[in-house]
Parts: sequence; C-alpha cells; structure tokens
Amino acid sequence: MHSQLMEELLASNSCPMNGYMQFLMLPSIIYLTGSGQTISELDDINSLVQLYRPRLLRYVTFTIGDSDLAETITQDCFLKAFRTRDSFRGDCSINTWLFGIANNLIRDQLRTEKFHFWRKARATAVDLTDIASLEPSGERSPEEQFLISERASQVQRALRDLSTNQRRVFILRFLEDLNLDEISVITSMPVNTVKTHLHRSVTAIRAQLGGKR
Amino acid sequence: MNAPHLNDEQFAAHLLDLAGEQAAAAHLRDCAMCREELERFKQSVDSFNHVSLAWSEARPVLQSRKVAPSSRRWFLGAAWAFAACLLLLIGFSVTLHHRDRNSISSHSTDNITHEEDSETEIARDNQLMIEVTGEINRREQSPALEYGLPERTSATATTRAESRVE
Repeated sequence: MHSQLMEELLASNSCPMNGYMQFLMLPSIIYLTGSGQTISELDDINSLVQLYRPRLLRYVTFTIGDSDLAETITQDCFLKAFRTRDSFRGDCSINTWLFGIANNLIRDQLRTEKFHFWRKARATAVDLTDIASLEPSGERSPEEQFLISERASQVQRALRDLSTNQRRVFILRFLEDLNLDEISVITSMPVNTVKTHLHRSVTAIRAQLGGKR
Repeated sequence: MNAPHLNDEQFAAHLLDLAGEQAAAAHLRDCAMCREELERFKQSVDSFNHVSLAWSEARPVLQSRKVAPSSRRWFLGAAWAFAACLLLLIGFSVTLHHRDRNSISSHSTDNITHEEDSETEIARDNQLMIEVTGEINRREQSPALEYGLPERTSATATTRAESRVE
C-alpha cells in the first residue's frame, strides 16, 4: 500500500525525481491508517503549501489568465483545504483533491461579474519570456534558452485563444500529467466531455504551432 | 510519400494515448513529417511545462495569510494594552477621588476641631478672667478703710473688670 502511495505521489509530478525528493523531504505528509485508507496530514499547512503551491498556482494562472487573481485563488484554495480537511476521505489523491478545490474556486470566480469587469480593465497576463533565464547559468546554452522561451510563448499564446474548459483540461492532461478519470473528477465533467475538450484544445494548439490539417 | 498526413482527430488521439489509433501509429512509422510535427508539438508543450513551472516556483509565497493573524495579534495586544491603561486610569482616578474626598473631610474635621478648640479656649480664658476678676474683687478689708476712705474706687474697678470680660 505504501508503494502504491509512493507511485501515486510520483505520478502526480511530471518530474518524478523532483516529486520523489519532495516526498523524502516531507515524509509525514501522508500516512496510513489501520484500515489502509489514505489519510493526509492536512494539518501541516506549510508542508502542503510547499509541496503543491507551484503546480496549483500555475494551473489557476494559466486557466484564468490573471496572475494576481491566481495568487488569491491559490491561497483561498489552501485555506479552504485546511478548513475542510476533515471532509477529505482519502478516496483520491491529495493532488486531485486540491485541484478540485481550485477548480471550484475558479468556477465561482468566473461566474462573478466583477471578474469580467477586471479582466477587461486590466491585463496581468504572465510574461514567460524572461523565465528561461531563471535557470542556473551553464545548464543550457543561450540558444537553447531562447528556443525554449519561444516555444513556451507559442503555447501560451495558443492557450489564450482556447475556452476556459479547453485550457483547464489541456493543463491538467499535458502539464499535470493526470489521466482522463482524474480530470473528470477535478472538473466535474463526464470523461467524454473531457475528451472532446482535449481534442479541440490539441487541434487549436496544433494549428497555432503551424501544424498541418 | 503520397499518403495523407495525420488529421486532427488522429493527431489528438495519438497524443492522448487513446486506443484504436493503429492507423496513426502505422502512419507515423512511415511519415517523417508527421513524426517531426508530433515531436515539435511535444517539445513545445514540454518547454511550456518547464518554463511555466519555473515561473510558478519563482513566485514568492504571499505572506498575507500569515500577516493577517500577526496583525490581528498586534491589534489584540494593542486592545489589551488600551484596556489595561483604561483600567489603570479608572483605578487611579477613583483612588484620587477617594483621597480628595478623605482630605476634604479630614480638612473640615480639622477646621471644626480648630473652631471647637478656639471656643473652648475662649471659654477657658473667660473663665480664667472671671476667676482672676473674682480674685481681684474679693472683698478683703481694704487698707483704705483704716484711713476712713470711701470704698467707691474698688466698686468702680470691679465694674471695669466685668465689662472687660464681656
């Protein structure tokens, strides 16, 4: 059971080694009860934030396209998770549970008129052009960094043209490496709907990247 | 190669690892262009994955949630300090008030005592003077009588002493 948990945790990270290291650093984040049910030590909010915040923040940011609002939603997500930690039954991974909470918060936010007003009034879109330079020098050549930055910008531009549903399923599938069932749980959409959104998002991004039709 | 390239459905299905895409897999084995396109797509998404995660990790954790309790703690501390000051002020003023009242009452008591003392003193003085006067006026055989002088002078002196006492 413990190895299953390990695999589950590793599968939740696209960079397995990184996830494994984090797991080793925070060994008390998950433990097992006598009945074999997965229970998280959700009381330790600092560890929770440390482990899941970057991915949650990215998901929210590139789903709604507003980094400032995404910060607020991510914080609210952890706050809500902490407050409702007793309701976590362990029938899904903490990762899926947190993304589900974030998704509900995004949905609530998108429904408000205030969000649409501020979206028109200001655009705090994420600028990824300088991110490639964040890497330690010597790890990649300047040409490689430029190439990575350009490719990333292309995908980002393509994501902006997608609908919110298409964006969120694309991020969950290709960035968070979640399977269709997990995406279905998180987004509360049937698996076939998830597939449809994924197909459309891939087609749109393929076109944006100059692919053939 | 004249075979049609992967359409959007096949391309997406292959990316999503959906079953039943044998034709797409077979085509990819033969078509270098589609392979290259697929590879380019994956590289682009990987680049975005890498860069966006780096961006997200570089974002500092906002401390507002942590600040809020500490500011609230500060506010609570200030409230307690204010309450303590208020309590001290009230206590001090009440003490001062009591002390003032006591001093006023003791002051009036002193005055009364002083007044009482002075009245008693006056009375005692009067008594003393009366006694003195009585002693003076005590009828003794005047030496003037021996010489046959009238007693009028002594009577006049008595009258004078009595009027002084009054």
